[in-house]
Amino acid sequence: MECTTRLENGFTVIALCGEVDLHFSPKAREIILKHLQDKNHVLVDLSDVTYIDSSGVASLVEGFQHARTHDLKFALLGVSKAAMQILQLSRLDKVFPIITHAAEADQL
Amino acid sequence: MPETQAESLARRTFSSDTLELKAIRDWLRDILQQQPDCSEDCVNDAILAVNEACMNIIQHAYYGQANGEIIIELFREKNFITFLLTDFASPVDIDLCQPRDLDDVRPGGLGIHIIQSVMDSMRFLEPPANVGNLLELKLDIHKQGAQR
Repeated sequence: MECTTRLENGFTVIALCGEVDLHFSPKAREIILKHLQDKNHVLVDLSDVTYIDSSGVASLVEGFQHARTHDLKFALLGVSKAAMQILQLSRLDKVFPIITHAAEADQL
Repeated sequence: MPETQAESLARRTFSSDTLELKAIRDWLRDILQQQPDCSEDCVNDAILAVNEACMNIIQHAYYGQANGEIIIELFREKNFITFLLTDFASPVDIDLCQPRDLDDVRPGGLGIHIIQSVMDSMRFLEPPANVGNLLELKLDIHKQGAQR
C-alpha cells in the first residue's frame, strides 16, 4: 500500500493506493486518525485501491466515527470497484458519504 | 472433508505473518485462474473470503504471532471448490465465530459476514490430532455473484 496526502477544496485528501490488508491497515488507520485529530476535514481517496479487506474497512469506519464525534467532515472519494464490493457486502456503502469528485465535498 | 472423488488442486503452507496475506492472495489467484470455468468475479470472491479467514486465524487463533503455520488446501469436485484451512493454534470457540449485526456500525467484526456472503458454506471440521482448527469453505463456481 502507498499513501499520499494533499489539500483540496478545504479537505485533506488521503489517497490510498494498492492493496490495503491487515499488514497495512494499521498504517492507514494511523494516518486517517492523525489528520482528524489535527481537526482536518478528510476525504479518503480509494480510486487506486486494488484490494481492501475488513481490517482496511475498519480503519475507515473508525475515521468516520471519529469525524462524526468531533464535528468534522469525512467522506470516501472515487471508490474503486474492489473497494465498493466489500463496502456493499458489509452494507457500509449506505453509511459512508461517498463522492466521485473532490468538488462535491462542498455539499457534505 | 471433501468427498473422496474430489481432485486435489493445490496445497501450501504459509506463516501467520500478516505479510503473507498478499502471497496467499496471489497464490489463490494463480490456481483459480487455471480453472477455465471460474469467472473473474468468482476468483475475487474466493480470494476475499479466504483472506478474511486467514486474517481471523492470524488475529484470533495465533493472537498476532507471526511464527504459526496456516496450511491451505484446495479441492475440486464438479462445480464446487473446497478450501481447507488448517492451523496449529489453540482451538477457537466456534460459538463466537458468528456474523454480527451490520446495523451496529463499528470497526471490526465483519470477517465472518463477508465469508458467509460470498461462500456457499463455511464450517469447522473436527480437527485431527495435533491440529488446532480445521475450517472448510465451499464455493459453487457456477453460481453467479447475485445468486450467492
